[in-house]
Amino acid sequence: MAVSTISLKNVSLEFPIFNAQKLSLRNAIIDTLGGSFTKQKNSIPIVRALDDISFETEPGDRIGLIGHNGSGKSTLLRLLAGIYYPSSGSLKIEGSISTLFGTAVGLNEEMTGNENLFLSSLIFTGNYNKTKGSLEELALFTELGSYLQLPMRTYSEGMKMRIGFAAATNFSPDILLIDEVFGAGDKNFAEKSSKRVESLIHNSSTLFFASHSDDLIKKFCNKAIWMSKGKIVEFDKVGKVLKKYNKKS
Amino acid sequence: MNHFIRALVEVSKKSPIWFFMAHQETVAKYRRTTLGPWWITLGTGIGLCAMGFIWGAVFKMDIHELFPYLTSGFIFWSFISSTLIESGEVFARASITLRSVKLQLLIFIFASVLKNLYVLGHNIIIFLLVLVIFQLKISFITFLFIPGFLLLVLTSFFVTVILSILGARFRDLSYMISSLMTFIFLLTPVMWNSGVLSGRSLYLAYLNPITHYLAIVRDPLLNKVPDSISYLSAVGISIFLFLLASFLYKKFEKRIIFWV
Repeated sequence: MAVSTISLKNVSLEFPIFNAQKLSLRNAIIDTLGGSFTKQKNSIPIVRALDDISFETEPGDRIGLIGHNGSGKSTLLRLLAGIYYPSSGSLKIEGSISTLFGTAVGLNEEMTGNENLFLSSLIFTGNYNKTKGSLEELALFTELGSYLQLPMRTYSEGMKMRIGFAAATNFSPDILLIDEVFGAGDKNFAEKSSKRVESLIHNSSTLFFASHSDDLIKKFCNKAIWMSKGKIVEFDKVGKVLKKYNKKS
Repeated sequence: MNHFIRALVEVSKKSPIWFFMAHQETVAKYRRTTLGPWWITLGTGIGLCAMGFIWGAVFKMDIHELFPYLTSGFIFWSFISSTLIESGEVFARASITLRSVKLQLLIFIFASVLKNLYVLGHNIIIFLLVLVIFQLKISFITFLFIPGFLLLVLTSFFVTVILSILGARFRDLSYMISSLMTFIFLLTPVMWNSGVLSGRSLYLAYLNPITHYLAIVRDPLLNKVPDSISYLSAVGISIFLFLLASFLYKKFEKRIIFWV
């Protein structure tokens, strides 16, 4: 396992919020021409989703992200994943990164379960040979058997989730970023999928895990970051942070 | 090295991802049909027959000349028009994937171009039929098709980059282009021959960039050496589009995620 470190220095991220009007060409032209809608001029609302974030991780850190909805947990995860870029500040990340943010990537209803497993896993791993090689294991994991040869539109929601989940978890990164995803499908499969996530967590060198469940955070993390309004309120040992967080809320 | 070229080289190495993305999207569309993607061929074929016979009758044109001209023009026009129409929505349609996984944006561009090429491949069969039926002449001139075609594909790539970035930011763009398409079709010598024009109207036809791209792929197929004006214009426009694409890509690469 490679040693992975992450360090952020004064990172801020500002989001322009484009509503339907701001995404339209007409308003952009009117804006530049200073037409009749001048009230809207330069009024693209900007949200400061991350505000002056600085921290460093040590190898082996398992960090839980806690905070209310909209506190910036998911944004921070997407920033670490390289999906978002900081508006200011600097971040340095060493090690390979995998994300578990959503499990419906690259799925197509008309294609069979097998075909969906293949493309979705290919998108996640980016590696053709690895994907080809692991297809059989993925198929077994879903327990869908001969259903895998049927188009996915014939599946129940739970069955679709199995496909998405299996494909999304087919990796072993240095740095693992998880956003809430935990357990998919019926009771039996939920247990199996939590085990799979657990083994991914154990095999990674660094973990960031956003969740609203104190139990899961305590189970997997040694440290925690408490976020509020895009700022870090507290970054410490998991027990201490949870205690303060629960007292405050 | 240019930032855009570096990204291009990197993504071209990830061929399995964009290859299977394009493949899956195309196959899925025709999955429940008997003819599958051959509907592309059939659809274009029927349209071309209708156009050919009706035009031939109305304008009293020689079918032996009209059919090869119309077919070779129309299938490349279709490629150009689907590039223009579909590019604006490339990133908007990929928003779920873009927000869940770190992927190079150009992967979606490659997939989009490949999808359009897939359709073109099915349509070229119609021209091959015309080639056999009307016993068109094949000579060294025919091979001039290859550089022309490569330039067309390369340019469609740059156009896809430009329109997908602008289309992600300005959602009106795709609709605007679609609604202009019939107009552009009539302005472009697909059905009519720019040879019949002279003076000012010929000048106007030459102002239309698509005229030149059509000429460099179509003329060789009809055993005619394309005008040097067409080659020069096409190369010049391609260089301009390349510069524009690489400028937009470099400037907005990191912002596109906020627009989708």
